[in-house]
Amino acid sequence: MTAKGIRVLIIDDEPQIRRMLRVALTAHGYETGEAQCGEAGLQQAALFRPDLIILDLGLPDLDGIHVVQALREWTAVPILVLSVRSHEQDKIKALDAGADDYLTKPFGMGELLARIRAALRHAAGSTDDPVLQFDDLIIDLAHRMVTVAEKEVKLTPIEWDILKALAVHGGKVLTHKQLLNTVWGPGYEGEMHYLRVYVGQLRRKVEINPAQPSHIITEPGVGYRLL
Amino acid sequence: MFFLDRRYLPYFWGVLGLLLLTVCTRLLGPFLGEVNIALLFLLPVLFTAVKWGRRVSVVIAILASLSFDFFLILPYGSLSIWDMRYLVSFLMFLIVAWLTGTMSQRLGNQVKEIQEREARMAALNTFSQKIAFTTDLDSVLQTLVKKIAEILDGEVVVLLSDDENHALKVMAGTLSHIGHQEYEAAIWVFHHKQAAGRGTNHLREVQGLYLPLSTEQGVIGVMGVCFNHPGDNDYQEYLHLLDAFSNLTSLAVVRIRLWEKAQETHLLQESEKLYAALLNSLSHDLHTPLASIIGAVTGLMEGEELYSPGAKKELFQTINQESQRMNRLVNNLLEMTRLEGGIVKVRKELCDLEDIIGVAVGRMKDLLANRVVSIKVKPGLALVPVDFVLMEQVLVNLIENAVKYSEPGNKISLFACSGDEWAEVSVANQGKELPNDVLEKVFDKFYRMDSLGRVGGSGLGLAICKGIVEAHGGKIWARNNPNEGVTITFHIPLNEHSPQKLIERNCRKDEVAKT
Repeated sequence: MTAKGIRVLIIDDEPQIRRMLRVALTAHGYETGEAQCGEAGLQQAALFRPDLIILDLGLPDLDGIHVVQALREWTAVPILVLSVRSHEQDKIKALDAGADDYLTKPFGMGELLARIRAALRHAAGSTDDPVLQFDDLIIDLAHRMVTVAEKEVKLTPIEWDILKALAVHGGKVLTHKQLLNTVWGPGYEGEMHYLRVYVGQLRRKVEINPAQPSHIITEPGVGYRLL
Repeated sequence: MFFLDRRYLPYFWGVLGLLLLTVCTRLLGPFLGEVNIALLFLLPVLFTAVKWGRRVSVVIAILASLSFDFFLILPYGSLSIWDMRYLVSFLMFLIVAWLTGTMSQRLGNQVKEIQEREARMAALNTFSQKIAFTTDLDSVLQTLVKKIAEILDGEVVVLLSDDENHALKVMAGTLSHIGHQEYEAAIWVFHHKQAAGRGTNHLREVQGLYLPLSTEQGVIGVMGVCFNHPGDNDYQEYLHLLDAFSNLTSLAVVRIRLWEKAQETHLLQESEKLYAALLNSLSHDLHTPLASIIGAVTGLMEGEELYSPGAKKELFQTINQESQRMNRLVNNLLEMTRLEGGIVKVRKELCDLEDIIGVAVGRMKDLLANRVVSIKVKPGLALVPVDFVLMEQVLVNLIENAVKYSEPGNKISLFACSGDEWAEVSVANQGKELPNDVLEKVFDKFYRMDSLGRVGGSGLGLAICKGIVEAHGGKIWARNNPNEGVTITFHIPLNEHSPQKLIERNCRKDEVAKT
């Protein structure tokens, strides 16, 4: 998927961050717009009509969560939030409010671009494809089949549900709450230990080196993602 | 019996003496002469005066002259005095008895008084020596007040002034009648620097006697005394005593306050030293990576065309690595500040240790590029109630430490297992061993092994590990491996109420030390 013409709106009060993002994204073929604060950001979202929004949670005028909520009232445009370390609760709140993914400052450009691509892919609705591939991990949604390095792997129903939920999200992060809700249902949102146990089991079946997973990635304090 | 009663014993002896004397003089009369006999009769009078005082000696004097008259003056056996000279002798006897008796009594009283005073002073002296080494102001004042009250038989109160607003506060003791008037008197004394109260020239209506506690720096407070039996006392005499007491109190207060100030200054100096050390360390650790970054970047900016692609790549790598290093330092500083400030909130959730190790190793991937990494997790490892992000920080710091103190190509092993009450994680590295006395000190803030050469880093990493592990109720320690290198291990309790004892060796079947 080329980035030609895809519009990205950058909402951040730090001029250096805006510059860095603008230069890098432009070099990769994206078209960029900028806003220095929350209010301007909301306006630009309507005027610039971006395909993706990068939103810093530490804005001076509005709470980042409010911006996400305000945006979600009228648009489903993918939103990536930027936050600092140890503000996990903010990230979770933003994700629950409707943000698609997050990045922790300082982040690497490769990480950023990967998450932008994942968010755009998801938005474009490419989940119609029943077979999802993540390097050597192939998930066939139609036939409920998982192969790793061309060998079939047998999963329990719950393990399948977890893998499917992550796969369908295509590289975007899922919070613990979202996962528990999807797999076990509402009311299980506090049962973290279920997740831990099943993810551990899943890794042992699906990862070449379960201790250093390359597919099912833990996002500390936030949730999991499938790469 | 009448004459064996204590009070009448002197009389008995006096009379006995007189009788003896009378008999002797009657017998020896002719050899002695009348003058000498008269003089001899003075002896019992003098003796009783000196020994028993005025009253007894007067009685004996009367009896002596009667006896003298009766037995030794013509006509014998009668009490008539037909020579006026003997009347004079009689008067003389009486006067001698009276004067000597009075003087000796007074002397006796004075001696008794001096002895009493000496006894009190000796008690005071021992007491003041005892409190000379106490450094708690409250307890010293309490003891002082109690002792003085005992010696003086009254109630004592000590009021000291607050440094800032000079308000008087009761620091020790109570005056049961300390009403508003008494307090006013104390304030008066404080400001006028003179004694006041009962028995003095000022504020006589007040119940207690108030003395200023003065020092070289001025009046620091007031001591108040309220005697239990106000009538009996000679205030003038007690004023000397009270002076001594108030001096003792002032000295004690001044001494303790000086000592406290010295302690404060000492602590301030120590914390300043630590602060200076911290600043030095930080300055170095922040400026060094920045030097590399700025150097590399400006180099690329000013003469990009001069560098080959390989050279450029190297400079970029430098910028990246040093920036990551600074990022880790900043994280450590923040964590340390949080730990110090007590604002670390440990959000415990049941976590998978293998997961945490995996995330930490992933994050440190670049730094571990030149090391051989081995991860061994015991199957069936229990979920552990920890804060994921904090525990990840612990492992990141332990890995950074292991890399720092090992050589390229060395092996770094991570190990996790759990028992009934504890979960255990170890990080082991090959390389130099630590001297035994250092094994504990490495967890101190800013401790760095300078003897091994400066390896960079702020010395905070292990201190943070310790802070976080202990905030989880766990323990962390370092030991030297049997072969070479160091292993750092920590325990995390599996439930809230685990007793704080070390897990048995059952957890460590495959020694991590086999590096």
